[in-house]
Amino acid sequence: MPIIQLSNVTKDYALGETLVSALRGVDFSVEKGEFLSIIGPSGSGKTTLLNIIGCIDTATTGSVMISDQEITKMNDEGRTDLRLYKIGFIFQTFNLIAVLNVLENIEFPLLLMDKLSKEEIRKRAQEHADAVGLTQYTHHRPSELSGGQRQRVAIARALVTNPDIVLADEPTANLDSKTGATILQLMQHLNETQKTTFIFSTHDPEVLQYARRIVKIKDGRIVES
Amino acid sequence: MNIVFRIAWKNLMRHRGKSLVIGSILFTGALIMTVGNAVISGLDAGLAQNFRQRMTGDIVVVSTQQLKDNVFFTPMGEPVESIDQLADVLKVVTANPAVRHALPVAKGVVTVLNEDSEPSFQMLFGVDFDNYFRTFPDGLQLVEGTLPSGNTLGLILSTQSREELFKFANLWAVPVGEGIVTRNLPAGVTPDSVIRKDQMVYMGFSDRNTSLDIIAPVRAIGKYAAFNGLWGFFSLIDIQSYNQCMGYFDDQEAPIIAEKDQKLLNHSEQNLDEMLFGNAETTPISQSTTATSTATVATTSSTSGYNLILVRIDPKQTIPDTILQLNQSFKKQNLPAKAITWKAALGQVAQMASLMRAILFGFVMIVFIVAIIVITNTLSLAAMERITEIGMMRAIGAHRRFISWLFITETGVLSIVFGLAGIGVGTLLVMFLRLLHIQAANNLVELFYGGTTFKPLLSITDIGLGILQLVVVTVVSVIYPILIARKISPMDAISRE
Repeated sequence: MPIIQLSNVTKDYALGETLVSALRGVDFSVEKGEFLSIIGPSGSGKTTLLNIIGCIDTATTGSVMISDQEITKMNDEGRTDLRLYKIGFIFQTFNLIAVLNVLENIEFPLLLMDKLSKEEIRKRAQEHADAVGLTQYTHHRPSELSGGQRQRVAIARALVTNPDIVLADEPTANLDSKTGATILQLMQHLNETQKTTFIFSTHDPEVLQYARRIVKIKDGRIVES
Repeated sequence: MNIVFRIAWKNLMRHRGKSLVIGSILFTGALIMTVGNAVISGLDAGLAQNFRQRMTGDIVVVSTQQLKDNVFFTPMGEPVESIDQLADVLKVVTANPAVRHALPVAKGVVTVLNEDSEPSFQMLFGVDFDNYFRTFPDGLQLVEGTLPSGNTLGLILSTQSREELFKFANLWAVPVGEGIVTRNLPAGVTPDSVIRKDQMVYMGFSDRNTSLDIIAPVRAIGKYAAFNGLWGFFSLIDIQSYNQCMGYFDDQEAPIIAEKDQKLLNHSEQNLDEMLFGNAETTPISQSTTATSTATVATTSSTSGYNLILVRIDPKQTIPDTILQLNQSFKKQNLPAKAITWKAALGQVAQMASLMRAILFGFVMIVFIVAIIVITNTLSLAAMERITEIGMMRAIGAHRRFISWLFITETGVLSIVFGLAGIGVGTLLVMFLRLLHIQAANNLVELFYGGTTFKPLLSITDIGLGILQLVVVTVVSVIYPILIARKISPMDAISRE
């Protein structure tokens, strides 16, 4: 049973008076524990596809099933819960909360869940900070970190809730090659050890060597899966 | 620490400039509202103390024949109808458990006759002095002489009436047997430049009297504790003299007066002109002895001139309830009397005070609304500037209610810190203003102050009201910014990037 199932998904944007079709009937499924890369040129629909899978954006038509739940019929509350409990998202830019330090940023989704004790939240956040190599920086603000360090915070934050799916939109686009490789190795390690499903978009050929499955998208259509 | 509060607090610290702007508005608004509330309360308390407790009482009972409720400051001295069956009406009033004091008052206008000048006019309250001082123990301050009591006949002339008389006829009234107190004379006036007068010759204006006059000895000069410029138009006279002056006589006195003035009454209409302006026999003003010679004992049965009963009630009782009870009792016993509020009896004076109150309240409301608009605007701009942050939180899994609470907490923290500081400083300012003992410069300002001195009053209720206003400002100000923030989606944050 696929953890993600998209059927005939379209997405249209209104750009002034022009209608732009970002996705034109995408059929696509992902099994649990996959380490998958979506590739394609700029404007091909990679980010749109990830946003729809991540419940950040909604499809114009079609069906999107995440963990057996049809998200196109969900209200905002349901989609927000899905983002919180099932999905971890690593953005192309780092998107950390500027006023919180590293540890507090990692804790943030756990605090939103409000299910664990304060001590347990702190312990788990510390473990994830250690896992991404930020032990020394837990009390630093995002503005005091390098790009790679910030992306690692974002990864730790995405993983701290033990989500079923982690989506990463060009996670290495703003990093140097060495840091990018470190991040990808970390993601690969977590995929292997925790069986977390990883889907990341990229158009960097070097990144592709880490993917076990590659999905090609062009002009809003899957051309190779 | 709750995550909402933690983020809110850190955001406030991060954006200190904006926090200070909003905080300053909240501080200023809370301060102005606190002082404004205190001024309104001071006005209310001042009016209650000065009018209700010192002058009018809480309730005024008048005749059902009296068409207009405005009975104190009637236009052109328009007479107030007498209360018939006064004894029965009084019995009903005093039987009411809410009533503490009931003072029958005869209010009327008299002509002040003077050999050396044209006649002038004065307004009098005919009262039983003892009852008056029991009802309004601190209503009148003694300036000169001795306050009359018991059956003493005579007059407590108000300082206002004395000054009016001086301006009109250069007469300076003093209590019987006393000299002129130089310090009480108007500035620049010397004792030898005025005509000393220790008795007044009054001729009443009533439907029963057009020619009788009395001599009323001045027993004291008094000043009303507040609103002397207004209430000072009324001097107090014993009810016996008042009734005689107005032509109201009880059964024993009537024949004496009738005999004395029989000659005048027997004149035909044609001869009246001769009598008044020709050589007819007249009694010089200085020899008028009506009141002093015949009325040596003030009788409680002299009730026909009474047209008002000023009622003071137990402070725990309410005026509307007591009025309702009294009017029901009057109706039940078929008595020709009705109870009205002190404000209704004061007519335009009370309306003017209400207008002052409304203006003050309006000013406070303007501050209230301006604070809401400015804070709403600042917070709305802040919400738009935080699209990336809010959208990102939403992308991670923050619900809309989390965003709402974030804004409420941020504004709430500012309200608590700056708003309460404003209320605190406002409270201190009110205390300071009370210490200044600012005196009213004229009657209008006195109405605004609710008395002679500016005494803003801040009760626990007022502070509670200030806090409530602060809460309302905070909640109303944050509604629109929250609506903006709640609409921010994760896609808005991503598209910004």
